[in-house]
Amino acid sequence: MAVQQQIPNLVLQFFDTYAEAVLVANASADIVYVNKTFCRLTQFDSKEVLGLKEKHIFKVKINYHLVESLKVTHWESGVATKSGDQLWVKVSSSPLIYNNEELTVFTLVENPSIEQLKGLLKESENRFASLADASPVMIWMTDQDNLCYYFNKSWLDFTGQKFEDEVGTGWLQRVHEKDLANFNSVTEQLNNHEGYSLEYRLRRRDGAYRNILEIGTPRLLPDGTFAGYMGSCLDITEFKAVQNELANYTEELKRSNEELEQFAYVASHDMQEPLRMIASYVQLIKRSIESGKPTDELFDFMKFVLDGVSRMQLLINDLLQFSRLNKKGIPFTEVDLNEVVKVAITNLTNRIADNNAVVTYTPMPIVNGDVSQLTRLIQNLVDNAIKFKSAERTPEISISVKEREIDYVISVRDNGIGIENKFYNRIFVIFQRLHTRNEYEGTGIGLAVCRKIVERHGGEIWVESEFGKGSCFNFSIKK
Amino acid sequence: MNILKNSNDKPRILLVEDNPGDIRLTQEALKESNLDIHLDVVSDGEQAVDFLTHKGKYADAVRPSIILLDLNLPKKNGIEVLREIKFNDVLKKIPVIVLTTSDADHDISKAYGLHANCYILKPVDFDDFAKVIKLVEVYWFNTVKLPND
Repeated sequence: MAVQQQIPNLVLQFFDTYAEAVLVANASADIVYVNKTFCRLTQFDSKEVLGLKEKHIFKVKINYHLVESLKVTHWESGVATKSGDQLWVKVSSSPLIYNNEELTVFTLVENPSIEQLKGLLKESENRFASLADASPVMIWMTDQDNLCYYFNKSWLDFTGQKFEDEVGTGWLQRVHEKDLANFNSVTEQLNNHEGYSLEYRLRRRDGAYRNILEIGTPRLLPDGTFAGYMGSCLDITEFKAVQNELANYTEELKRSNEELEQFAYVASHDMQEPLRMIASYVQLIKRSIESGKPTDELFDFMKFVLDGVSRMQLLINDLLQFSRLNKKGIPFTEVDLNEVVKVAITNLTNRIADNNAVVTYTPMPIVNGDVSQLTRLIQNLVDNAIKFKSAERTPEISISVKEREIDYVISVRDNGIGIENKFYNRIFVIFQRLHTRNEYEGTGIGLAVCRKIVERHGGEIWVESEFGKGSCFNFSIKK
Repeated sequence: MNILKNSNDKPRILLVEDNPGDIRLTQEALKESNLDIHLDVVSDGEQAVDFLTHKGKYADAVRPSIILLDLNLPKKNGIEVLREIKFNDVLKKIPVIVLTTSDADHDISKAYGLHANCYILKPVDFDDFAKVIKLVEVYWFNTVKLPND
């Protein structure tokens, strides 16, 4: 009965060295031989298998096909092991005639099942998910249509949403509406399936919008086809804040350096000039006295000395005013501009009366700022309007306000001599004057102070004017 | 003929200066001069250019032999005036003496870069100021030869 009696031992020993499992059945499909590999694979002892029918081993036969020329059939089958597990194997069977006996030789190669593959895949995915979930970085994946189908724990923790709310395009609801357009900047990369990076604001679970740096990398299948994107998102809010602060400091430093240079220039020019006048004219007075020259000349010379002294005083006061603005002012508080305008006008009572000026104003808003600086600002602008009055008209100055989306524009309009538009920018630069000292007294600091105050409040200052008819100084201040 | 020529040949200085004190100082210093120098004064940069190009109220202005130019001027500063003079084919032949309080390197370099003929710091006292004016006089009117056109 046993095949060993039909097939020489040598052949059987040879089968035992095979890495594949080998099984031999006789013409009536009784199993007459199994090799050692078969036993190891199925955990059966050969005695337990011999005598069983072939169909007891191979319960199903799928993907069955016959290679006619070689008389070999291939198929796949599940094979039960002694412990009850199911092995999936690829089987080749071929007929063998030996001593007129028709035998069939089966060779079996282990072949993982789709279920097993799914299991392996699942395990790999689990491994990825637990790695991704342990990462502090937000990670997501999209399919070919750029719809998100995976978010790691960090993402869901950050947005405070459930996976169902984020899947597909749901997560876009968390992006700041003004930043949705940022995605347009990477359209080309997305269409070409290239890597990209972009920034946008994303709403955190507490409602705060945070700056996010997103880096997307295309995922390619082994054959090179595009499978979607995989990306990471980092909260760079703090980094950006530090970066902005640094940029602000650099800007501030640059500005303060430029001002320092201007100061040095002033020390060499504007401040020396009155001193030089005083020294020179005192010397001329001395000469005049020594030579016994007419007294009217002496008075002329003294006038220049006194003029030098008062210019020096004016310069020192104005410079002091300007340099005080360099120091960090008091913290901003709520300021009622109605009060500011009132105080500024009160401070100028004598100047307004002496020049028969009329100053009017409309109701003013409440803003955030430094009350004493804002008073100085209005005061300087009104004072300026009076100084450059027209010789032909009574000075009329009106202060009004226009509300814009994010700020107010305060306007100080006069009917004075006006400014040619080529000088619009120069007037706000320190020590720049448009008129000789004979025409209008001044140090060229007043409007530079105004600009500085406006800039400290995050606004802008500009002038509109019709030469000969009047000027309108405007500044913006945040709501 | 001779008399006319003489009156035309009278040395003329155009002083571009906005500070009345400096204008008077220049006048006082010139009083001590032996030469009969005619002094024209304009007090801002725009007037200076108008004077030299005979514009507006300066239609009859006579071309100066030399120009004394302050740098810190209203409307158009001295550097801008210098540029207009030295980029004008007719005016560029007039020697320009920058007379200023600024000893800033960038002003000195800019002035010479724009072909200023010399750069003088305004002295702090009158005696020195008078000496400088005297030197200018001696150099530009007694020593060098100026163009006739």
